[in-house]
Order: sequence, then C-alpha cells, then structure tokens
Amino acid sequence: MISVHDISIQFGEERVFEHLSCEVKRGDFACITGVSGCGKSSLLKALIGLVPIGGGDIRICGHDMNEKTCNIVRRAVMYLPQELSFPSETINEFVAHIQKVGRVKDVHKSIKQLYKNLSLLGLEKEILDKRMSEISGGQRQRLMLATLALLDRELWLLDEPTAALDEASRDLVINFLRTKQQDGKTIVAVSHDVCFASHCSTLIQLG
Amino acid sequence: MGTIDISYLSLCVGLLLLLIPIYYIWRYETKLLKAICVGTVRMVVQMLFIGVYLRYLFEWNNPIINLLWVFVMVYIASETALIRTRVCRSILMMPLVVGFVVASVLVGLYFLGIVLGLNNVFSAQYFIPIMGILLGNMLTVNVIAVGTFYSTLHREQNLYYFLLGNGASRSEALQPFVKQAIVKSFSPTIANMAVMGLVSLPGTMIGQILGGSTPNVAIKYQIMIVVITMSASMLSLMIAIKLSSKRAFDGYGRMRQVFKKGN
Repeated sequence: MISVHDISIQFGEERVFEHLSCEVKRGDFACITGVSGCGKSSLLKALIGLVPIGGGDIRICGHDMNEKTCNIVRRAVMYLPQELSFPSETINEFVAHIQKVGRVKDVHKSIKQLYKNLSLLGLEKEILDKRMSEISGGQRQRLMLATLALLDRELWLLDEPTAALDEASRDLVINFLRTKQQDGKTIVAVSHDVCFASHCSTLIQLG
Repeated sequence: MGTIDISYLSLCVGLLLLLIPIYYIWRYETKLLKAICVGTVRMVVQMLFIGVYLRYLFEWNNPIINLLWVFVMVYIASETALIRTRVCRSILMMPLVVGFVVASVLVGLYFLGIVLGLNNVFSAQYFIPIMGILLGNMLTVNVIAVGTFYSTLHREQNLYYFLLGNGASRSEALQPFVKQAIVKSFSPTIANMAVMGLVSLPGTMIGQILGGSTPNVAIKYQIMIVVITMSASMLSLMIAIKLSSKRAFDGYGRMRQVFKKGN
C-alpha cells in the first residue's frame, strides 16, 4: 500500500530526517513513533505530497507520488491532522463540508453511518446540533474521525488520533480503528502513545 | 442652476476644518499624525494636477489618449494594491492588472454603451470619470479582499492542507478563504446600500445635484454607480484571486512564499 524509499525531509537549513525507507502493506495497522520533532507528522504529510521530499521516492495506493498523481492519491486517502481550526460555526456545517469534499451522493445513508460512527466513538448524535466552540478537544478529535470515516477511503493517515483523549476514549478510538482495519482499511497513525502503539501490527520508528 | 465656485482662499479656509481630526490624532498619540499630514498634502497636490490634466483630456477628447490614461490608472491602482497587500509582485501584479482591465472595460462599456446608450463610449466626459470611480472601488475591494485571502490562508494553512489532503481540488480547498475575503470586503458596501438615501446621501448624487442635475437624474446615476462598482469589484477580485492562486502554489498545491520577505 505504501512504499517509501530513501527519502529525506529538510525545512530550509533544518534537516528533519534523511535516507528513510519503510513499507506498509495493505490491511496493516501501522504506527509511526519517535521523539518529538523527529519528523513523524512531516512523514505523514510527505506521503500525500503536502511536504516536499529531498530525493528518494514514494509509492502509495498504486501510484508513484508526483505532481500528476497527487490528486488521485489524495482521493484514495483520508487524512486527519493533529490540530485544525475549522471555520464552520456549527458541527452540521462541518459535516456538510466534508460530505461535499468527499462527493458523497447518498447524504441520508451517510448521516446514518455518521450516527453509527459517533456511537462507536462514545459521542451522542445530538453533538451535531452544537457549535464547534461548545465541544472539548477530545470530543472534537473523535467527531472529526467519525466524520472523515464517511469518506470511505482505503488508506487512513492519522496524526496523533488519541492525543487529547482520556483512557476510556482512547480505547474507543483504538477499537473503532481495529474494526475499520478488519473491514479492509489500511491505517497509518502517528503516535507517541505507547499503549496505542502496542495495538498496531507494524511499527515505523523515526529518530 | 449653476455651481458656486470655491476660491483658493475659501478652499484654504475650508481645509482648516481638518484641524479637528488632526488635534485628536495628536492628542491620543495615535501615530497617525504624519500620515494625515502627508495624506492631506498629497490629496491637494494630486487634485490640483487632476484639475489640469482633466481639462486637457476633455479638450482633446481623443479615444486613444483616454484609453491610455485608463491604462495609467490601472497601473497605478495595481502598484498601490501590491504595496498595501504586501504580496509578491511575481504572484499578484499581472492578475491585478488583468482583473482591473477586464472588469473596468466590460462593466464600464456595458454601462456607457448599453445603459446610457452613448454613441461614443470613449467620450472623455463620461469615460474618464466612470473608469475612475470603477478603479477606485476595485482598488479598495481588492486591497481588503486579496489581503484577507492571502493572510488568512497563510495563518490557517492547516485547514487548506487538511482539505487538499482529503482529496479536495485546489479551488475547493481555497473556498473557505475566498468566502472570508468576499465577506470582509463586501460587507461594508452591502450595509451602505441598505441605508442609502435614508442615512447617507452618496457622493455621486450630491455631486450631480450641486452640478445642476435634477434629483431624479441624480438618483438614477447613483443607483447605476453602486451597481457597476459592485459588479466590477467582484469581477476584478475573482480574476485576481483565480490568476494569482495559479502562481501562489506549486504542482502539488503547496503554498509558495506569498508575502514579500521581511514582512
């Protein structure tokens, strides 16, 4: 599913990492770990061409990542960043925006799936009527995961999906991801959480 | 009904009114003192020059000279927008020029040729003031909107990359930023439109009435001025954003250095 060969990432004079090679197979649940600042999030972004690489190559979802294929790859991928300030005032607006981005045709079916995802992640469906500013960081993280899951992409790239969560919520997220893995999704998550990493089938250690 | 001339001495007496804002600007240490003094001097000098060259433009009434003059105004407006938004010249200059030219020509000629039904749309008496008012408004809107668009995009890059990373096209990922730019730049104009005639009597209308037109003619011109300035401003803004965003991103959709270094 992902094959990274001899890539380096550098921001100006600052070298983040170099000569990295790794592989993630279809159906894997992989975790990218390492100390802060070692380039975990940058690697995740580089996989979908959001961060430039210096040398080497990336093959992802059956395509060599380049200017021509990046849009095709991004439509096969779900990307959950660690932090996001979404401009929508209400959560319903956020959901509608994601459905639009994902070109969701059957909105009714999509909303039913969203209710199911929210329930699996320990959230009430009434949360959809709230404003973004009214929910906590942990709720926001789970809400985004539940909503982005509607995109139904084959590869999930998640940046610290359990960072703002307590133990109980973290377990819900892990179970949710494992269920999706069993449904055939490939999951690659950045995490410095040892417990989270222990549930993953592949570890990619940076730094 | 003629217009009463203002002698240069009376003009100087009138300018004394500026002492009121100048006093409060000085009193509250707003650091705007130099700006208002320079602004006032520039305004007076520039307007005196306008008086001179408009006299010649009206005398010659030559379509080519009038068009050339509009291109000079477009260039000055583009340079001004470039300085105020602080966006790199290589990204914004050409899109601004194209936006200003296309919008002013299309909307201006539509008004002069179709709405007013002029035989000679390049007649200096109509062509120069209409292009002037269009460019002035387009400049204001573009400075606010383009500045908002790029500064918000720069500040909230994570949102743009989030949308792009989830398969949105570049224009889809830019949509929230275009929306903010439109809201910020057009809200004051729309609010003004709603109270026009009730709270404010706009400049064009006042000018025409002072110049001897009947209120009936003046209001129709005023309505059309609001319509053409809004249309041209939106058209020029969309062209500027569309064309500049082609230069502001690389082949992967990643943002290039948009603002001039040192800002």
